[in-house]
Amino acid sequence: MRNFLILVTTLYAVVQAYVVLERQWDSQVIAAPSFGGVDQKSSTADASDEVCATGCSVGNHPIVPLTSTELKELFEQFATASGKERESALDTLLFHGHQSRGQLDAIGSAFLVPEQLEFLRRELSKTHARVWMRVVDDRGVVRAGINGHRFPIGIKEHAHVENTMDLPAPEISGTVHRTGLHHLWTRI
Amino acid sequence: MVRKSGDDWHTLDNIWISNGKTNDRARVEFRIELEEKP
Repeated sequence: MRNFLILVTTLYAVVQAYVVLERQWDSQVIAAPSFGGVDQKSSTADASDEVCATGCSVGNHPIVPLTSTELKELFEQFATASGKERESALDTLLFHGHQSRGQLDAIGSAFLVPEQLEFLRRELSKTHARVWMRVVDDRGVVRAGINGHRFPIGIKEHAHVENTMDLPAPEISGTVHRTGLHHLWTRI
Repeated sequence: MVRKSGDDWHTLDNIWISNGKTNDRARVEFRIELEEKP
């Protein structure tokens, strides 16, 4: 019983430490690519509105959607700008992937040449990321982990760890957002 | 945290783990890849 309490207390402390660190980080950054002239918004989730297993303290990160005017500006910037401005527009379109994908033909096609349209269609079709996590002890033994778990981008996901070694099975949950052509933001 | 897709393992933190009898130091490692469409 005493050992069990120590284990629970230790796990609780670790989880709380992660939450505090991540929230400090979120208040400064929260994965928001910026682009010229348009106010980029995102907000942290209120964990109280989540319905999750006990111990899951990771809230969703609802993203304030772009207006149709902002989307139009972004497609236009991506089509006509160069350098940082074009890169920033692309990052934001990818960050708002679900919305950009839905409006690519309706709005984007008015500005984009076929090669640009095809490029965006291909990039916006990437809707998932694979996540690997492992807990490795001082002897180099992997005690628990997930191996290429499929996380939908922008949607909170739970991964159940089944293969553990001499360790209670933890539950891993988090959200992945795309913040650029090759970069992903994760809160686990 | 922001990571580049396909980068090598990254250590998130060092933690204590326990099996109820013994405690061990451990590190939590992470990597991520954007899933490519076939």
